[in-house]
Amino acid sequence: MSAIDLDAVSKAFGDTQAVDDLSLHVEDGAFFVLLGPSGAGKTTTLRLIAGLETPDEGSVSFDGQPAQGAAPSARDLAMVFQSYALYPKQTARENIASPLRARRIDADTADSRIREVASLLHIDHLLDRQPQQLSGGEQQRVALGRALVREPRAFLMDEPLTNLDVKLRVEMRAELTRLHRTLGATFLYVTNDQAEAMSMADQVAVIDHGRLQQVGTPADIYDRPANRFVATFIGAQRMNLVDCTLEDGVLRGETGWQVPAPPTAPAGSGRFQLGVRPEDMSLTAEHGDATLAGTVYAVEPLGDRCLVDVQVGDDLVRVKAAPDADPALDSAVRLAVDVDRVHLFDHDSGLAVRDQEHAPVTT
Amino acid sequence: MRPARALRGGLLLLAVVLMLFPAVWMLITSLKDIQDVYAATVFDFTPTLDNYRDVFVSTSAAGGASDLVTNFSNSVIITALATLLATLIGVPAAWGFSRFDLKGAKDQLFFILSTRFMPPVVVVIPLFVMYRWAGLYDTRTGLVLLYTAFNLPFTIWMMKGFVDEIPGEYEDALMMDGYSRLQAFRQGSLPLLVPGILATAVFSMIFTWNEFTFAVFLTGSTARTVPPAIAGLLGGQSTPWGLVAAAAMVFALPVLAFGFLVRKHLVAGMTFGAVRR
Repeated sequence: MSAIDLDAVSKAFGDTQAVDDLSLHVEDGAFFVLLGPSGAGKTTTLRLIAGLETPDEGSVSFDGQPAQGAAPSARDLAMVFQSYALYPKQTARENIASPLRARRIDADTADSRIREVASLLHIDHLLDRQPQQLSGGEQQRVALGRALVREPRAFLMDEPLTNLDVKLRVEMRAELTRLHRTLGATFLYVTNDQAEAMSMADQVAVIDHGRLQQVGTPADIYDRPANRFVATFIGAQRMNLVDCTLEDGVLRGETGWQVPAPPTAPAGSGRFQLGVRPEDMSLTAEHGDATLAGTVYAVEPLGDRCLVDVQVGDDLVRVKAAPDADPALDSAVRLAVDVDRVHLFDHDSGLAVRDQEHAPVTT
Repeated sequence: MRPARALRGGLLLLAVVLMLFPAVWMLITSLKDIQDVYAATVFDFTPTLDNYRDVFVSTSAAGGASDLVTNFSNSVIITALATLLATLIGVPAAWGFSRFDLKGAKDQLFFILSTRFMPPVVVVIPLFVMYRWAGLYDTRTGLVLLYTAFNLPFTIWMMKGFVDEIPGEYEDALMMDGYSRLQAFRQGSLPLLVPGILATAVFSMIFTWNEFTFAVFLTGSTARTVPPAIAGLLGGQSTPWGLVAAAAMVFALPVLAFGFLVRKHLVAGMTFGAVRR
């Protein structure tokens, strides 16, 4: 087990800057998730740590020791690939035994290790099958088994659940977090699924275009997104963004709505975007001092709740309403905003307005 | 239905006859003595294996092995070595081009291919001079070197396609398991490359086995391979057509047999890159 550090790491493939000046600190024993859309550079970051790619600039270190060109085999890491990369001409048992063979572990020890891992992953009965005779979920377990069969300093996982169906994916999430608790090892986990990140991580690093956007606990990232990208990427329902201007402590929208500015808002005036999560709004009949007016565009009843899309000026605003809410299409509605839970972003830079100092001054 | 089947059968028969005619003609000729070869009949003759005996046994008074035996052993040795060397060098080279981010890889690959742009006839005279100077003229070594060099571009290009098709992640996973880069290649990709290697080697082999131009210019008697040797039987006062045909039959056999044995791999190898997974 060990801590992993990336110090100003950059990597380009041809003209594509896959990873751009990325610095990260992964605590020993943490479940650390790299989250970002596809093509954000997450997998490249993982491969840089694994030693499968060489950084153009910057360095990777383990427990403060720079890896400096160490071969992947010398880094004592285990990796689960998105494709699983199970060796096609070997049985599940031989696949799992591969890291032990590489280390010339004697047959008896290897055999008992394999049995241990197999029972942990419930794949005892599959050990003599070839990968192509296994279902996706079974292959995933074998790939996991190959990583777990020894005790590396850290486990690297590259979207290991992406190729599974939804039901299995949710089950495996819970199993992986349990596994992490049991082993107490460092897990570095790559995913593009924000729900996976939120549900499994101790720490999440959000990456886009090879750049670190924000790092923090899932709650940090959800409640205090650093910028527009993080705000809209995290959350089962995308955060609503509406253009507005700030004047005299009041946010004004293009359609004339007014919402009191949050305490984080700067003193002056300027153009901003108001960010509100669908769950931080409700349908209301009253003319409060923090309401947006609009017309119902679409209604999606989901059983436990009802998603209502409301046209406010040029923007579609999505609100999570009570399950019994059933507004008629094109009817006029008002949205009450929970003022304590709104986010304010600078219109041009997209950065969250957190406190007075960072607020841009516009006249 | 029936007329369609008959038509199809008829067309197939026609194709078979057209394609097999030269081979059958050669086979028949190889079984005739010289009078029958010049006779006006095609099938009306007494079959004889004398020509085949003459391929292997000298007709001179002293007897012993014929010159063609030397030619055959030259062909076998040269073909085997050139194919083996081209494969041994070409497969790792292709792997390198496929897996590593090499500077100017495209230019290098083009350069390698460009060595095949020149027709043999164009380069054979300078090669002849160089070989004379280097003492490689009429040696098996000379031909092995030449054919290896000539098979390499093809081997590298073809094998690169096969390596490209095999996900690099097998090797990545093996390296994560604790194997070195080369061990990862040997364990991860090599087993999956076998059909491709066989297919490529068969093509190298066929090219080398059949090669005529270089062989005829760069060998005298010692290292002469079969194709120029058979050609050498023609002309003179009279051409021993039966012997020519028999020698050609014997010459064609190894390639046929080998192709037949590896045909499954050959087809698998050739269609490997065409199948999207």
